[in-house]
Amino acid sequence: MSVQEENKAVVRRYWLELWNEKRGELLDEIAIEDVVFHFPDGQAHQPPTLRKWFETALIAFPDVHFQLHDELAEGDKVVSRWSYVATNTGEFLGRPATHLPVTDRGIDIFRLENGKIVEMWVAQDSLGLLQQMGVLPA
Amino acid sequence: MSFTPEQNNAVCIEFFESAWNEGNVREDLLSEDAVDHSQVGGKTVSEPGAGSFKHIVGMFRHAMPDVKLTIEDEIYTADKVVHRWRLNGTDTGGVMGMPPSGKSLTLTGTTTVRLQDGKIAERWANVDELGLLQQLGVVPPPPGAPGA
Repeated sequence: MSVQEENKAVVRRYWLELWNEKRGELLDEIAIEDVVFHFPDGQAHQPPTLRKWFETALIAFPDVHFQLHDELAEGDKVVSRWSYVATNTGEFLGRPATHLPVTDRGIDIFRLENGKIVEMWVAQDSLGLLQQMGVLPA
Repeated sequence: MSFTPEQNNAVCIEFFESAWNEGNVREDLLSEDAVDHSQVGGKTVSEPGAGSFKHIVGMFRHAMPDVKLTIEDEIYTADKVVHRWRLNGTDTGGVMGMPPSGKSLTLTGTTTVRLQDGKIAERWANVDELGLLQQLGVVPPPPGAPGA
């Protein structure tokens, strides 16, 4: 299997096993501890580490479920085009649960080294998310 | 005729640079039924053709006549091209119906393109609209963000 196919398999585990199956114990297997994040300035939630991201997201959206629409790999990068559906049943950004259903979609770029995620560039629609949660007017 | 991923990437660079930097949406680089799936500006309907992209380019070039596209990363394989990009410009015309702020603005995004026979057939873009509104002072920066 090529490095690109191996990297795609790691990123697939990130979405399907870490996030969808909520298997936090996989973090050490698929990513380094200090993944370098590149968030858009307007990203609503900018956690310092992937572990913190996973933990805080699951407090706010414990039923989050991702769908992977496209995956491609070149060199040491993997790109995922994804969407999720979730229900906001816990605190998010210091605000109490709204119990509202939310959905978002995005395109994330991952860089891998030695079979682990080391860097991520995130692009998702925080404006839409905050509008769905009633934080900002639609 | 088959096109290499490098040729596909070159088509995308030409298309996006020409659109943003010169205001010229090159319909000759779009397939006739090209679909833009992006939801910029709350758009939810993906109609084929160049109409919606021309509208978005026209709107931002009116707001920022000096707008310049920088492609920061290019990833391409088979029939897909992904660009991570940034637009920089000075808001002298007013963004989204707001009065001109005179500010230097940055809009970032990531776009996936599917090509067919050397032309753009489908596009999916994620654009940091919230970041733009924050720069314009319309909404506050998120908690924990740099400068927040």
